Amino acid sequence: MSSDSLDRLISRILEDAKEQSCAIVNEAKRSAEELLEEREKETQKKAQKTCQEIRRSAEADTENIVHRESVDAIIKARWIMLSEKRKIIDEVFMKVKDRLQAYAKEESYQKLLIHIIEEAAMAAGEGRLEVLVNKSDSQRKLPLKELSAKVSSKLDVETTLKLSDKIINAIGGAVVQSEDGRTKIDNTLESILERERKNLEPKATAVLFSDESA
Amino acid sequence: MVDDIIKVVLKAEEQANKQIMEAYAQADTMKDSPNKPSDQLYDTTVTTCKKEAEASRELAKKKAAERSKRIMEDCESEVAKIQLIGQKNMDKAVELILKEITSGAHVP
Repeated sequence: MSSDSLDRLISRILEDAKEQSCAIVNEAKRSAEELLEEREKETQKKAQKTCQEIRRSAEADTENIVHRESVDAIIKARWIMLSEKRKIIDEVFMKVKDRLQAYAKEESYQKLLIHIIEEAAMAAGEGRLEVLVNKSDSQRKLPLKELSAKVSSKLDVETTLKLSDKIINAIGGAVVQSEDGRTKIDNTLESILERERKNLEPKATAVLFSDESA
Repeated sequence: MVDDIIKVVLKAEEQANKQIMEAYAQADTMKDSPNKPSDQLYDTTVTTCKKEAEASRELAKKKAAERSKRIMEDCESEVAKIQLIGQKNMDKAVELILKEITSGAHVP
C-alpha cells in the first residue's frame, strides 16, 4: 500500500467517524426536540386542566362570596328595619299605657270598670268572689250588689261579689278571685293590654306604617 | 511495513471510535435535558392562573362589600322612612288601641 492510499484510508475512516458522530448528535438533537415538543404539549395540557379547575373553583368562590355577603346584608337590613318597627310599636303600647292611666281618672272609666268586673266575675264563675282594685278605684262606689245579681242571673248560679281589703298595684281594672284564691281572673288594664297585644299589634302596624294614613 | 500500516489504521479506528463514543455521550445528555423546561412551563402557567384566580376572588370580595354597603345604605334610608312615618302616625295608632281597650270589646 502506497503512502497516499494509506492517507486516504485514514482520512476516510476519520471522516466516516465524523459523519457518524454528526448523525448521532443530530438524531439525538431531533429526538430531544421532538420529546421536548411533546412534553411541552403534555405540560400545556396538564397545566390547562389544572388551570381550568382553579378557574372553576375561583368562579364558584366568587359567586359564593357575592351571594353570601349579599344575603347576610339583606338579613341584617331586614332585622334592623324590623327592630325599628318593633321599637315604634313598643312606643305605641307605652303611650297607650300612659293614656290608660289618664283615662282611669276620667268619668267614663267607671262604666268600663264595671264592665271589666262583670266580665271577670262571669269568667270566675259561681260562689263568693272578691274584687281587687287599686287604691284610687277602691274609693269608688261600685254597684257590686247589682253586679252580683246580674251575674247570678246570667250564670243561673248564686254569685256574690265583695270588694277586697287588699289593694293591687295597677293602673286600673280589677282582679276577681274566688275566696279560696283557686280561681283568679286578672282584668287589670295592663293585663288586658298585654293579653290583647298580639291581636292589636297588626292593627297598630297597619296604621303606623301605611303611607295612606300619613 | 504491513504492521505499521495496521498500526496506523487501528489508531485511526480508535480515534474514530472515540469520536463516535463522545457523540453517543452527547446524545445521552441531550435526551435527559427536556425535563426542566417542561416543569418550569407548568409552574409558570399554574402560578399565573392562581394569581388570576386570587385577583378574581379579591374583586368578588370588593364587589360584595360594595353591594353590602349599598344594601345597608338603602336600609338606613328605609329606617329613616319608617321612623318618619311611624312618628307621623303614632298618635293615630295610640288612639286606635286606646279606643279598642276602653270600648271593652277586648275584655274577656
